[in-house]
Amino acid sequence: MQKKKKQIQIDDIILSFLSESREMIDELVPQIIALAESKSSETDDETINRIFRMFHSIKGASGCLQFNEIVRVTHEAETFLDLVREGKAKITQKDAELLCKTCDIINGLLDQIEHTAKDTGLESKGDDIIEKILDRIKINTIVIDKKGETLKQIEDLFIKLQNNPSDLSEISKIKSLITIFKDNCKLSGYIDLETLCIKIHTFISAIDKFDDVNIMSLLYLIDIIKQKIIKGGDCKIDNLSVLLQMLDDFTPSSKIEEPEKEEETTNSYSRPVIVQQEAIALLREEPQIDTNSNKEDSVNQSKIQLKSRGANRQDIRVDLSKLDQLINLVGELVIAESMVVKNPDLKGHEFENFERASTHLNKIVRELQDIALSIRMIPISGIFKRMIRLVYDLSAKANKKINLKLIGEDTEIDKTVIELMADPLVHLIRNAIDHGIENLEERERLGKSPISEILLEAKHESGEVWIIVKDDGRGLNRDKILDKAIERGLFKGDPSTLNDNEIYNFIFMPGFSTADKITDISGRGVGMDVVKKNIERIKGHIDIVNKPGRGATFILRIPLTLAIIDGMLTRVGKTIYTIPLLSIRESVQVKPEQITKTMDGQEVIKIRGEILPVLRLHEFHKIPSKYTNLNEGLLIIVENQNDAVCLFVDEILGDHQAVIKGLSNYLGDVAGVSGCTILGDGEVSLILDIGSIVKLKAKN
Amino acid sequence: MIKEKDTDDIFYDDEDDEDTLKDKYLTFCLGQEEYGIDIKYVIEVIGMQKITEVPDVPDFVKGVINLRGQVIPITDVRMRFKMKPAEYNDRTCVVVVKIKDTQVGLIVDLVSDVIKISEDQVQPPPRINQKEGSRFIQGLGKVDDQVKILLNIEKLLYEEELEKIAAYES
Repeated sequence: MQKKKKQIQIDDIILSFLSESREMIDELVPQIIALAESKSSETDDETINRIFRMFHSIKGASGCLQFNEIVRVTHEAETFLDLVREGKAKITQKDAELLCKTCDIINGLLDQIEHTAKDTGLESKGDDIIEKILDRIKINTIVIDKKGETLKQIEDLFIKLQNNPSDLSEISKIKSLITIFKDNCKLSGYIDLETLCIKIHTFISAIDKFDDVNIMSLLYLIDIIKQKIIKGGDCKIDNLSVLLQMLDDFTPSSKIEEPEKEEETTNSYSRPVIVQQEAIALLREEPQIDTNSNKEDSVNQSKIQLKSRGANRQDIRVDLSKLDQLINLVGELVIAESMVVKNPDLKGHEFENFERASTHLNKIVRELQDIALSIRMIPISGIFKRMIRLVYDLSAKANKKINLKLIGEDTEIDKTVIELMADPLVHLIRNAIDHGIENLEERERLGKSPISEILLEAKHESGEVWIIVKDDGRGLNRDKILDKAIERGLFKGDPSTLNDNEIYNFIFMPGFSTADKITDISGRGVGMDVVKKNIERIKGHIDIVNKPGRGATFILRIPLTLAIIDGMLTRVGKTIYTIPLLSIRESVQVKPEQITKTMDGQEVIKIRGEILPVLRLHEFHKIPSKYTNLNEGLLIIVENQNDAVCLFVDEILGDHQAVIKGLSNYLGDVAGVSGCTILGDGEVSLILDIGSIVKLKAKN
Repeated sequence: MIKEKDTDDIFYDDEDDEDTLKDKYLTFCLGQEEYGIDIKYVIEVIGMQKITEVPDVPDFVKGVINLRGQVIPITDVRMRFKMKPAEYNDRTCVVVVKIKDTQVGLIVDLVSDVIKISEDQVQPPPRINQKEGSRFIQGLGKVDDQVKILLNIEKLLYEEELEKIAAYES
């Protein structure tokens, strides 16, 4: 027994290690991306340190548990981050990608641990990433070396100039060398040196005659730069303003304006050279310079949110099954309470004090129920954060510039719902990036901003949660979808009978794709099928708003929780069914003349110009009922995804907040029933699965 | 009546429990015969409750009941054995058993006792009649001059159920 206990404890440790590490990586990735995208140097320090700390914690924890592979990988990441921390390197987009990949590998290793309790099997990937990181570290040292070299060349040329001041042939060479050097400084994040270089460049362009004084002061400046480079660190120049002022003083005032323009042209001319030289994706960095402030804002916003949440919110880790137990107990309490308060023994008596006490009890029980249910709710930000990474990766892969805007990250949704939301969001965003958003040339031709925007928004809306994925791309191509649907045999008949919504819904069919070629992002026609399946599993709906040429919007409408629904209680014979209120359109009593029976026995009713099939619940479930004539009982019109069916029941008993319980596995799947709930009097009521019932009828 | 145990307790005290529960059977009556089921499966015994019928299931599954907030399916053992159904009365009991993490209630005529039948007193089931019902027998237990029919709960609940559901659907 002792042994058993020990084993459990170790498992516990590994489990908590896994969940903690995963959480850390989820946190880590947006930070890395924010770092690569941010411009100001002050916020960086803290972010770098935070990233460093997280890698370090993962490394430490894995070390304790002897997951050496994770240690090996994180160690290299740390080495690199160390360089960044010391200011010897600046994180570029490429580096961010590298770090993100490192996170992927750690994630992979964590999965491995979960399955096999070992972190082996992914060594080749680990080797790969380590090699890449080491390469990166090497490049960084090369950059520094190169700078030394460039400086030496500049120095040599100045000395040559000093000896022969009239020979101006080398000036342009000096200028281009300084530009190269300046860009190198920028790459390494030496802002002071960069500023100084720009000034020197302007100065050289401005003066037409080099005398000893000029050259001496230039050499003096070069010397300062040299010392700073050799010393390393962040290369801050303490008396930068003094030096700049000195150069300004030397510069002939009349010429200041002009040369600056010249400087710009040289600048843009020489940049591609650098790109080739250093093989670092400066190109991608360029658009960021003129990126609208929006992006900066959104990055900053999310950063602020991250921080504030960290400060205000205190979470504890609780076993989900314990939570479920609590919610079950509270559910039982609600039932027990109504059993006491509405006890049949009380009938016919009036107890004033009892009434007062029971009202009080009722209030507390309701409050307790609300809170118990809210415990399961977690903010959606976790998934949204994962999307930052996705957009980042995909936009690089598809060579599109995308600004991801997040709104309403704090919106809280049931945990189980959130887990099922991740895949649909990934697929919707992939599709938006690959199919929706045009490539750069096309956007330019259409006069759209080169930076496209994907909006990811979550909000509460009339008892549901709406998750909105909106892009500003080309939108859905109605005709193309219709053609493909007919081609694939998904639709036979007259296309003109279809409305836009029905046509757009074809994209959710398995294997459906309008893509002419399959890219490694999408095009196989699997994604949207997954979206639909998952959303249906959580009883949600998808709305599509399409603006051709201006983008498509997918609205995922999902129930707030899977634990509770608003239900309508209906009676058929002795059986009480719960029908989800959300799927009920209306209930009607029909006159005999509205009823038609087709030759195969299917009854249909005509109501306000619409013809709807009737499903007799008592026949469907083979139970006795009070009424058998349609005009005696009630017809409840239920709908699911634009199809509607009338359910024939005896009567409506009222509405009920139904705590959903699954039917036992022992019973397997019961046709047309999605679960059950316990009524106020302790009786069990079956919840009808409107989706499957409607589908069943619509098929016939 | 056996109280439901905290799951943690069961986990740690497994070995102790196994000792005390070993060879013990809960016996119940169907008609004139007494049957026994291994007590380690039994969670509790409750009186008859209001059953909510569930459509689309084999006929021996009577429906579901609310057991303190848990909804559990109920099987009529008489019907499972293809015996003549009996009227439910105030002696009718529901034996709640737990197998493979699933709780199921068994409707029996009445619960009689918890007895100990040591292994050497249990004989293998008769091989003469391998028809309906007898395949659920795990063995025959001798107690004094009586014979109790010991049931294999797992087979009782699960065997051929899939076939039956399939047959029902077709």
